[in-house]
Amino acid sequence: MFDWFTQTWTRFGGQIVTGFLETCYMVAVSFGISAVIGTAAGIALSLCRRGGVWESPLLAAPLSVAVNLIRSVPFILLLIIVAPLARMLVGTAYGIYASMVSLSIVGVAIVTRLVEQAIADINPQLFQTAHSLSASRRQVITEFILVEARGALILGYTSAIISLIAYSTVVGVIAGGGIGYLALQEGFYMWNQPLMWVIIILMTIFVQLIQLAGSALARTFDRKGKGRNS
Amino acid sequence: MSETGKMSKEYPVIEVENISKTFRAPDGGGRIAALRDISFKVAPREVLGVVGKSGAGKTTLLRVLSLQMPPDSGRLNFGTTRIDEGTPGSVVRDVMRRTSTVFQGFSLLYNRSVLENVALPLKLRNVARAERTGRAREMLDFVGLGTHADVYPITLSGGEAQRVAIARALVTDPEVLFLDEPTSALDARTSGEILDLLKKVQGRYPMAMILVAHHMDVVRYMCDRVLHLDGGTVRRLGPIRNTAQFRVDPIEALWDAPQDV
Repeated sequence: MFDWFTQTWTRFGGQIVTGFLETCYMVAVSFGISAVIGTAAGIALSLCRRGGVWESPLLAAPLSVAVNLIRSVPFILLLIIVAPLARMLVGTAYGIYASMVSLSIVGVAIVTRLVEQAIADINPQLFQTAHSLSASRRQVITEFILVEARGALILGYTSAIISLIAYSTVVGVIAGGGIGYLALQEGFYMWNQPLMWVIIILMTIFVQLIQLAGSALARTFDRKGKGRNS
Repeated sequence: MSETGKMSKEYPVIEVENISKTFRAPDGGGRIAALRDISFKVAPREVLGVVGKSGAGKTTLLRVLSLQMPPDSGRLNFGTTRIDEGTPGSVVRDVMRRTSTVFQGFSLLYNRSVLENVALPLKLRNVARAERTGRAREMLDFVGLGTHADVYPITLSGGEAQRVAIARALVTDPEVLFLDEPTSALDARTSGEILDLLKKVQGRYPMAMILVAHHMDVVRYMCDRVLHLDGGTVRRLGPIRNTAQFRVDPIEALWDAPQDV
């Protein structure tokens, strides 16, 4: 019954493992960049928007428009538009390094919105408390927002990683490398259905594991709903 | 903190001079006056009650006094430190750090343990970990929650949460403690326990307290003088004369002399 699987694995196992590791590498680097820039942008956006604690429409409006622009361009077109930038930054418009450029751009937009939402869900009294304890602006972010929103942030990051994995499979069209490239080249263009299924199953399990890990981490770090002895 | 800025017995702890504050009306047409030309003084170790109907300006006054909101006009003197619109932010912050606020809703941080909550104001002042933990434990013992140091606030009852909030307010050894309806979210019995704790604070720490309250029995129990706000102005200010309530208007009853009844 599993002959098709063993045959496929014997023939493509090495390529699958390499592709999978490449995908992990691409997603890890792009997520790292997205998390740093997107978290900063998300905090700025939520605090500086109209009605925010440090209302500053001149900063919030352009940031919001930029995020919307990135999110409204279909990813496959973004890959093409970004090619010159990728060539400038990493010296090539193909392969996993070029893919990281596009993935980071889209990742920043995703993380920005998720962080903005996580902060919007914080009890507004937190800012009053921070102010009454005469926290500096930096302390408001590091000691209040990032600590109180960390459960929601971890869930948001998990969701962003999963989105980046999905986007990373599209980079196959620019020979972007990773498991998506293998699925497209060998699975789709050569019409190897068993290979496509192996990859689908593998990725499904992978995404499930990431979500499980993310949810478990969020539960560990978010004490808002935990009992005395847990 | 400079020596001249220190609050001392010779000076009122807080002197409020002609404070006014307006807000934009919700419908966008014009402004609503929340405080109009308010002036009064608070003596060292005094407990001043602030009473009045909803919308009278009590919370606005407390927020202006605790420097969380600047007034539109007027001046505040904390000891000999004068605060007006020209005062640099660093001076305002220094004065803020000589005060603490306890809120009706406790305002604890839920992702920090009880001990971390109490130590937080010291952490924000860059006090070393060992020292801040030691002082936070001391305060927790003082409020009767020494055994709760490592639990998270979600597990606390309302009364316990307010004790933690009081411990956090005291950990910085403030000169003024602002209390914004500290017992309104609690049942009668727990309220009584919190008020007893505040009495204990009053006995042990030389600080002035400004207490906004809706319940006149709380004011009677706690306060030396009462400021009655009405429509943003001071309607009456003076010591409590009557310890029992006979009048229909519970606020006016605070000043009834026994023979008036």
